[in-house]
Amino acid sequence: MSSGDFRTHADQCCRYAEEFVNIYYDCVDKKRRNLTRLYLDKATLVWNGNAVSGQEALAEFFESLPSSEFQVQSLDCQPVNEQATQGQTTLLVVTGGSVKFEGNKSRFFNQNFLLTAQASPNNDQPVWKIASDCFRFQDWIS
Amino acid sequence: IGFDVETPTTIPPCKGSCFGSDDIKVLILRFLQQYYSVYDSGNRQSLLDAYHDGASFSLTTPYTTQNPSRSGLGEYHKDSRNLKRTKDSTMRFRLLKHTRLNVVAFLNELPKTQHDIASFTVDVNTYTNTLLSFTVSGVFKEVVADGKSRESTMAFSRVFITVPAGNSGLCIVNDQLFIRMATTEEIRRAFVAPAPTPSSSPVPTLTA
Repeated sequence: MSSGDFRTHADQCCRYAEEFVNIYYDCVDKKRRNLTRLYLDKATLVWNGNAVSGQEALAEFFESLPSSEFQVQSLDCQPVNEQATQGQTTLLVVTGGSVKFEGNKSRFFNQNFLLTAQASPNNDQPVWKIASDCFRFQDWIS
Repeated sequence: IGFDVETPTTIPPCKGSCFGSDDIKVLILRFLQQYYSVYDSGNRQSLLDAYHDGASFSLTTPYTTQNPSRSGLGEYHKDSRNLKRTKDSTMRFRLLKHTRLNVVAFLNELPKTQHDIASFTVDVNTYTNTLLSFTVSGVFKEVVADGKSRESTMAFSRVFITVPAGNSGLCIVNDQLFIRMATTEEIRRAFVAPAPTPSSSPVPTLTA
């Protein structure tokens, strides 16, 4: 990939990442029921060391979480090297911030996602789906 | 009068590292020990071997209203690619280090460090035939050469996306590093385990 192509690709990634983060945390906080639609069928989540895999298990897991108020304070993204993804367009999105789960104290977290572009039957444009999601409280040990 | 709607308030218990399998655990721990022995050596040039030609790297620090130099993160703050703060696309691009030479040249300029491998927690995000992606978190301190300034302990969370390399090793294609000041509790726990001696097992053990 030439440096010009990489620049264009990197710029696009930033726009996708910003849009994704707005949609994702809005969905977690306010439309939790729809959340699994953002995930691939075989997506994996590692939540504070708990591994959850597949749509059904994810739906059950998200339902068990208290309602949340997320505040994203940092966001970064990188296009994932195509050798790693066998040509599948993939994006790494990394966030940090604070979250208040109902009945719990507010805590800082780090989270990262791998998003892959999927062909959609209802849309000419490919849609982004979460292939993996990794979440941790910064102070999970104490 | 209210409605008796049952809502959960208990969050699932937090667990330690999530490797997925013992084979992956051995692979990642060997990689991390090798990687950080070079990273902490004072000369990071040999990390060239660990990165793919088309590798990318960027770092972020937390958004803070505090003066960054007083927060202790000044060295990192100026290079922080926080898209919440940096809106200019040229600046965003400049802060994304691309190609192996640029990545390692940048890492070489960062402050000298000592990582506490015993503090590491590893979560494996994705594992396929062509890709192993994992998140490492833990603490490190800056090694101060002049002995006058204080040694500050910091915490990090780092995502490595790797492809298989020869000798059952890993080659980094994407690397994203988040750095913040360590909490009082993290400072208290940091570097309490004795440093591994060269003769000990080649694979460090992780707590939890």
